[in-house]
Amino acid sequence: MKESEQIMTRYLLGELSESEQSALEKEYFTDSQFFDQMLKTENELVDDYVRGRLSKEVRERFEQSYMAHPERRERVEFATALATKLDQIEFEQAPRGLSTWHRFLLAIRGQRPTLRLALALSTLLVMVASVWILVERQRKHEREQAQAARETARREREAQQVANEQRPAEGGQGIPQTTPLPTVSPTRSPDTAVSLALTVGGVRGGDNSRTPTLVIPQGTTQARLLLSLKDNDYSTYDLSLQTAAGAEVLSQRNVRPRSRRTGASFVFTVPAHRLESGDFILTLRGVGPDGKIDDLSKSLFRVEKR
Amino acid sequence: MELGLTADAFAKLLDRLGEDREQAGEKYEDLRRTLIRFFQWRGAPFPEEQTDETFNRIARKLSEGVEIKSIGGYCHEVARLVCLEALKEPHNRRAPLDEIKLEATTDTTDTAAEKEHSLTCLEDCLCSLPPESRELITEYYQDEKKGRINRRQVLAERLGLRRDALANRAQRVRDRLEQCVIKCLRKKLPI
Repeated sequence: MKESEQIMTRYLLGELSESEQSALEKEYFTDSQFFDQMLKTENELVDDYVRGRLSKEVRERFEQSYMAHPERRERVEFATALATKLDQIEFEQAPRGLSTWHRFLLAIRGQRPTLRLALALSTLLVMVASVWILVERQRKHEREQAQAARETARREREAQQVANEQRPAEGGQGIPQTTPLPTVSPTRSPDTAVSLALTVGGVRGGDNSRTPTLVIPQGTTQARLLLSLKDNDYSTYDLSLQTAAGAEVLSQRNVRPRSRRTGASFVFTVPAHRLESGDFILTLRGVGPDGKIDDLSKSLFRVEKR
Repeated sequence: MELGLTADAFAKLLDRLGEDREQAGEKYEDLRRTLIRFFQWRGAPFPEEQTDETFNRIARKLSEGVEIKSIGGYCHEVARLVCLEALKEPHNRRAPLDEIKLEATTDTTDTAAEKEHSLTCLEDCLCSLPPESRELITEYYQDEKKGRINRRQVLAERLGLRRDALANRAQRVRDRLEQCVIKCLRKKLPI
């Protein structure tokens, strides 16, 4: 800003001494061009105030001094209306190719600084919230994908394990090869399943460790109970699943185990909805060639549904 | 304070401003505009009335035979005295700064209705301008600072004017528009 304009601005803000004011006034009373420059400086000051272009300090001085006079406040009111109207005209005349963002900027440009700030903050808040929502959705999707991948890998491992256990044992004694058991085939459409491995040593030799627990998460469709036998002395077996109170959940008869190098194993698949939280007993009975049934083991385990 | 300029005072003043009545009338209007602004900038309570009082006093001096070498300089001297007298009057004293500050920082157009009213007045007044004046003011005062400088240069070239002549013309149109809008705003103000 030129020095003369600075002095004019200070005059308009009532900051000159009496002698300085008098000297400036003599100038504009006798020189019409100087007076026109005064008017131009005043209009620019008022327009800068309306457009929010004044520094905080100058704005405060303007509001305290310039706007103390009612006719000067009317001038500001006029300038505000003019700025709004000019922005409307500019917005309407904006080229078609102008982006939505630029049109938005033009639309709010004429507003008061506090409103422009409020609009800008609101827009920023909406943008930040949108980005956060998108990021959270992406993370959730990635977590679900990772979980699904882990589940698929686990089922593949189990299927591989089962497939390995189906190979004939060395020196097998005519124990029949594994027959299809009611387990989920790996080729079936993906069901979510959980497994629990139980080892039995026979009726006399019980498992003395703490009660094994099968955790069934929400959404699980099947529970697989893997039972390993140390001894495989029977041709077929009966399996029976009961609650600790004695209610029967599921049973299977004439089941042939899967042979292993040592002993045999069973995979007993139960629909998850049949198992509520609580204690269960899986009973294994051997069926002799003469049809005699011997109790071989009772495996206690706990179910926790989540 | 005597309200309004007397016919006799007006005639004497025009005689002093020039032999050609039309030119004298223009000079009178320029002086009047300068005086009103002076009183507004100085914070005098009634700029138009105080302008008329200034002219009356000048005319009185002219009728007393006082020779005035520089009418502009003399106007200033008389106006300063009128302003000092006006500001000394108890009922003309400005309110304490704190009250004014509170009032001054209140947005005079902070309600939607007031803003709408201002815009309506402005649009009515714009319509009352000749088309070339309307175009001049919307072109001249549009755009941000950088773009505005180029825009004004283009406008000056289109109208065949120098930059300062364009600025003066735009200023006069703005003054006219401003007076029209302020008159409109005051008309509809509640009593």
